[in-house]
Amino acid sequence: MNATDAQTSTSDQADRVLIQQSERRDRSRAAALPLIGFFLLTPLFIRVFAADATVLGAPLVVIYIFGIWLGLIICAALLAKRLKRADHAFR
Amino acid sequence: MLSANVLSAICVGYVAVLFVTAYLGDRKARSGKPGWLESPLVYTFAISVYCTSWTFYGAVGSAARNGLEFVTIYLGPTLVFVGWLHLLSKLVRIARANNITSIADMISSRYGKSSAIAVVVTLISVVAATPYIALQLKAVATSFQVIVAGADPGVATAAGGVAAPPTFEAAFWVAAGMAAFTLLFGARNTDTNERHHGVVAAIALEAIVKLTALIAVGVFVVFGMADGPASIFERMPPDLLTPRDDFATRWITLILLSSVAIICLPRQFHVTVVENVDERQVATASWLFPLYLFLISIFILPIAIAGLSFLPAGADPDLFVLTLPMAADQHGLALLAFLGGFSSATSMVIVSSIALAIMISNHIVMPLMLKTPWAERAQSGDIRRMLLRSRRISIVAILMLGFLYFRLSSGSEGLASIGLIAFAGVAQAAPSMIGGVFWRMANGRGALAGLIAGFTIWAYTLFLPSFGPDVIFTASALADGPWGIGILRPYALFGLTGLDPLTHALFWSFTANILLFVSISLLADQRPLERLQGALFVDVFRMPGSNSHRYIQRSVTVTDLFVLAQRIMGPNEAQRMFAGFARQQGLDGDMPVATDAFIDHLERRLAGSIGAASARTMISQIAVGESISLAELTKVADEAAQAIEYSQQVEEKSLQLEATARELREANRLLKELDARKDDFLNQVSHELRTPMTSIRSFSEILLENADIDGPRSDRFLSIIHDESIRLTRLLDQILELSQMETGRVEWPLSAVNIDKALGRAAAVSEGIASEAGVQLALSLNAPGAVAEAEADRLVQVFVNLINNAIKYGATKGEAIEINSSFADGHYRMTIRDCGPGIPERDRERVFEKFVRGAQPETSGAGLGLPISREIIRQFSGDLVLLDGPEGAGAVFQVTLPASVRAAAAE
Repeated sequence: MNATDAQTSTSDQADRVLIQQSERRDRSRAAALPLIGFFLLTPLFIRVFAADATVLGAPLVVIYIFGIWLGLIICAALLAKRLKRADHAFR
Repeated sequence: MLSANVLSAICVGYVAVLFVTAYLGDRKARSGKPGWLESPLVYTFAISVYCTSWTFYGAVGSAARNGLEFVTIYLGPTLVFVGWLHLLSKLVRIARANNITSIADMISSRYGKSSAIAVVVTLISVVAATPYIALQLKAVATSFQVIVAGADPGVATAAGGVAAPPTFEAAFWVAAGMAAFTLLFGARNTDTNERHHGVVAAIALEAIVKLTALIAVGVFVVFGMADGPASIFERMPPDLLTPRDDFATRWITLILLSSVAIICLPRQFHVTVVENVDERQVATASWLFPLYLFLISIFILPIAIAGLSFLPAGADPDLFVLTLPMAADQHGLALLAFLGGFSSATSMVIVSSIALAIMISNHIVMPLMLKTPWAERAQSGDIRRMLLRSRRISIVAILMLGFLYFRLSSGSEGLASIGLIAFAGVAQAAPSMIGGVFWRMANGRGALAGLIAGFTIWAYTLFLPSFGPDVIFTASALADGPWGIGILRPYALFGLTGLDPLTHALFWSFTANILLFVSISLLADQRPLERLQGALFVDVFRMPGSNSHRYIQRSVTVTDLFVLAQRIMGPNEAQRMFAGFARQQGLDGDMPVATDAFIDHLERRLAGSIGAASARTMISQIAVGESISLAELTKVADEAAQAIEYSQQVEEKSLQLEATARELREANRLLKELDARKDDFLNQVSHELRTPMTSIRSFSEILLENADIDGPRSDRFLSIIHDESIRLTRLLDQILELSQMETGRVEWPLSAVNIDKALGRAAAVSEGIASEAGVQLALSLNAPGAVAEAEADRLVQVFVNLINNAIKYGATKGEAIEINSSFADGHYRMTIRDCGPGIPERDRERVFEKFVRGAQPETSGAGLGLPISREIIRQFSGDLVLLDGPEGAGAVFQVTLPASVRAAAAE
């Protein structure tokens, strides 16, 4: 009986540690997102993509900027979903 | 086209819809079931008050002039929102914990509830926002005029006609309508805990209208006027997207500026932080708001291109959204576009005036009133009434100011660029705010100096010159500096040229602002309250539930507190609050005991109405003997640090434990296996010992019991006993030897041994048994010079054992046992192939185990030969293996030894 109790409490603790770790990872991801976004949107990248090329009729640079933009939105949405779920699990 | 009256009626109708929405929203919130009002969607729509008419009309204008530059204004906020977890959620948490009412309140609270800082931030906000409000009024007036006139006034002027006089009337009525709306729904109560649900509902509706309108115009332009995206981009002027010379600096500047503005604009701070009802809303807004910006931006460039290609040359790009549908005779769409612009203008005006009115009444009017004798005489509810009145007057004043500004500056170009100028103005609050929530040492005096310096430089280098020559600065002062002092030129301060005015102003204002803020913070000491607030703000996530009452001790009579609370909250509210707290303290009456916790609670509650600085002033006026215990603060900070460290230690420990447990499990498994093997071994050993012992015992018993046994028989029995004893001794010797080798306790003197010679010797020894068994030994030695570090006799013993085994188990009369040796790659290899049936697949693993014998009816060995041989070879750093081969083709053993070839072969 006691042994089982001890076992569950250890596994609870292990779970908590895992949750903490995954939270910490999510926090790092949340910090990285704007930095990566900013980096990819620096003028040098824009200059590179300001080439005289079109994708589906739209200039390449327009597709590039809006693509990065959409990518950031999708990543943020996934992250927010993860964090909300973790939040529920924790309570 | 529509007449002015019809259009006015439509506007009034639209505003009526807003009123109804706000009314319903307020009623729903009051019913206690806010429901969708508190959904993240409504919250996000409220944040989209960021998209003003400056976005709605101005972004297209910017795109037509500067290509892609307009997206920077939306990329900055996108970056801030996708990184919400670190800044936005912290601001929201702090604001909720401290009942923060505005950005000025936030900054002043952080720096020890300083009134001076609150006043400065309020002034900056008002100065920066008023022209911005004027810009919204102008946008409404101009769009009104365009719709009524049915033409672009710019085109009319360019064509030689006379521009219609600006319709100030329309702007005036818009301002008046907005004032009425804001008074009704925005200045109803004085407590931020009761948020402006009605206003938020109306703003959300407006957000939907402006997004729909812009997308509708965009879709019409792309698919109605042109034939899809490709055809639009074909019409693009070739150099529209070509980066200009100052592209790189402006691009970076604008992204940074807009990302700061999304938090520091008073209206953004208000909707994002103050109106927030649930921190989880921020998580959804982190992607939903960027998505809103994305959607609203996606058609800007196509509309700009269409305007440039379909409309006559002189058309104003800022009005393309309206003039394009009109040029295509789509009057319904033009009206929708007008309503979209109207929405974006009105929502900005409403929220800005609420946010500014709260700041003005809390941080300017209230502190002034507190200095007058009136405040002391004020009766129950008086201050609350005064506050509401001052808020209402502020709203009207702000809108009047905006209107006047619009009226006075309508001739100049001053308004067009005011959006970014306002951004740059409010951005001055960023260093002290962001520094304040992340840096404990950030100092109030540093913040104040930075704010004032940044604001002054912003005004000097950007705001005042933006009115144009001869308004504030004379033309010559603009060109050559005031009084001809060149280094004071507003657009080239200290001779810094080559930058556009915005970047130039931001560079100097931020340099001064940050430099003063940081250096004074590093040099000056913090006041106790400042240190306390700094710790509470910076560590808001780490010190949850720790309230400042632990550190501030003061005494007040509860009666004094009640009088104060009545004056600010009104008698009913005050009574309810006091009685509630008394119940919490477990008291029977309506009056709680004035503990530090209660005083702190009351101060926070009052701060939600009148701002932290004023609330503190009022409590301090009646409190005596205040002391702030920094020792306690340090203790709590230490406790927090210890708690973190402890939890990290626990985490580390549990990881260690996990690893140790894994190792233990592995060790346990090995031990069990070894134990089983030991049992096996003992079983086999006793079995092996039993056989000779049994025969020795039985023969000696026969000899003992039968004294009359004849000589030859007794001799035979004795010799059997003797043989068995020898076998027993040999067996024990072997076991001993094997166990010594296995535990690494044998050390033979190693020397260079010629392996082929040893093999030859072994073959010679076995020759006799071989010929007895009728087999031949086919010896082929191919490595005559190979020498290994070994012990010669042992090596011979191994070879003999292998050859004998081959004869014993694999002999077929008349066949040959092949023995080969070779040398390659520093290794000597000897293979021996017998001519027997080979070893079945399933037994190949087992032949090296102890006491395992080949399938042979009569056996003489103990089954230790192969294990011992292998151990010996391993002692010489080599190996003995059984090679895989087809069954029935004879077993092949191979000995490998590291060796070298010597010219003079050693013995």
